[in-house]
Amino acid sequence: MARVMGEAGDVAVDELVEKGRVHRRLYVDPLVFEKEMERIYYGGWVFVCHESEISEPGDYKTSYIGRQPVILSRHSNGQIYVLLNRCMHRGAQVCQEGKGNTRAFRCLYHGWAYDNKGDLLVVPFPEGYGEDFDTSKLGLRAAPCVESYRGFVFASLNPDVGALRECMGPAADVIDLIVDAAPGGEIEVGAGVQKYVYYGNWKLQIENWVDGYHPSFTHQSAFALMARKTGAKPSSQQGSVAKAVSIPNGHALLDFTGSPRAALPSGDGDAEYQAALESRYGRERAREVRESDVQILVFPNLFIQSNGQHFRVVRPISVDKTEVHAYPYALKGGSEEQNRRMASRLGWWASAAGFGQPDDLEAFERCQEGLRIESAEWLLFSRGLHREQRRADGSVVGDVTDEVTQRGIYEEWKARMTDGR
Amino acid sequence: MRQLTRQEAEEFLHREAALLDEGKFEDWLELFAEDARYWMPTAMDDDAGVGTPLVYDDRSSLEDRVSRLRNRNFHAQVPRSRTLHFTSNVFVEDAEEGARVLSNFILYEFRLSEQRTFAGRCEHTLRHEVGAWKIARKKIWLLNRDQPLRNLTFLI
Repeated sequence: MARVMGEAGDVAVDELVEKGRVHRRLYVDPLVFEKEMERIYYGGWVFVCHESEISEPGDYKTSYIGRQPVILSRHSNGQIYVLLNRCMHRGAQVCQEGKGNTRAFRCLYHGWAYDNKGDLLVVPFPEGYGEDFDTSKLGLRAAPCVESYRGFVFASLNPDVGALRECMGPAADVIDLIVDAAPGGEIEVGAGVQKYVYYGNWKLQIENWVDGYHPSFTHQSAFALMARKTGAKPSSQQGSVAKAVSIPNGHALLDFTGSPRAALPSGDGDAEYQAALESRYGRERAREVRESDVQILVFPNLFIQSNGQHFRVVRPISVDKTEVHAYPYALKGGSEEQNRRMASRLGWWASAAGFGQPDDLEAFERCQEGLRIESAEWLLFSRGLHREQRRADGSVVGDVTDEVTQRGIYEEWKARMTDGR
Repeated sequence: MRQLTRQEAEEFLHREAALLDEGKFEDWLELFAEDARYWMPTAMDDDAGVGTPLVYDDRSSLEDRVSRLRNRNFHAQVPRSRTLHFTSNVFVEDAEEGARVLSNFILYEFRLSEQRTFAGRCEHTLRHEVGAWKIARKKIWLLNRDQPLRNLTFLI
């Protein structure tokens, strides 16, 4: 049994998650958070960047795996390296910029310099070191596993993590559906990023991304404005054909395909787009792609929304502070006008000043405050437990407002935190 | 063409700030022209285009922004932020449409138990319409616009 020292002494992690409910300590206990970093963020695959963000040799971006700063670096051999951003001499970060292009990462402190795959190139005044000083062993530490799927790059600090594709399972089919909306077969990041922060646990965001129960209430004021403009009555998705799906390994999907929300108004150049899609994928696949409306959590830190043409990445800062970066993406070979409009629309909904996201963040912060209360210990995720259906591929399906997705997330959480696999 | 003096520009900005700080949002809205643009970029680079902005409102979207502040279900503004805007370093330039007014601002915001400070630069493009100056465009560059931000649902 995995145990961590908790706020009130020893905590048995596997006693914190039960079928249909989880303990408040998941959100407020700093020692649970430490364990999550070790087991989930350093022990498994995490999303790190999109290939198009560092498309040219020498391109780099700085980011984090869990709480550890990394450099995502494109070498001249075309390969992406995920380097831990720490000089092997005395520990200073060797790269401070958010993004750029460079031939070397040079430490400001004593001038040690590393190439794009982290090999140590320069140690000033090397005669000051003895004969046993081996620069080949002093390259930047790197994530042992880096793999990408349809342009989404994942890394793991655990050499025994297994293949990415295996961890993704049926989630990969959903990513295919999203990326196939690009007639050019890939998506591209490059219209900027929305960054927001809240004082709450990181899991409040990931469970919300696949929560089809909250929108009518949390976003009531935004829906009222939209309804006034379109004349449509704001309605709950309850009872619609939309589905909540828990995918094995903690991934989760809201599938609005076939629901009223899925019918997107077509814009200028629509016929052209349709033709391009059909010529690449054939008529049947083009139809499937256009009718789909999906949003998926790739556990633990990536969320992609087809309808909103963007993806988001969660970055846990501490047990009660979280940052989220949201990236609009362009459909390669798609309409320039639509790509521009979707980037702007992401701000309209999800920016810190937006019409949607701030109400979610308000909810997260109120949860974090409410969860300080020690006498009420459990959060309920039991909605739809009596009506969920298991599919042959291991997925579990429920009404879009059911908490089947959160149950899947916490089942995976428990397995990861307790050697349960 | 009607010229705008620096004193007039300062008075305009102070009046605008007072309307916001006193919660007279509908009166604030009336300062804007029908074809107005209210824009807060996230990009540090001014040539980046609209990209993914914090705010990029036309008049209709700006009206939504104001009307939701009156909605009791707009949770991120319940309770509403109290604000104090301070405007300084005002420069006025003639522009094709009327006048371009550049200013710096400091903004104190208080909500729940927390007081926060924001700083930035503003560009107002003002146009003289039937006896009054109207805002044709207001562009706001927050100092930390490329950083993770939290609850900017009050008006700047």
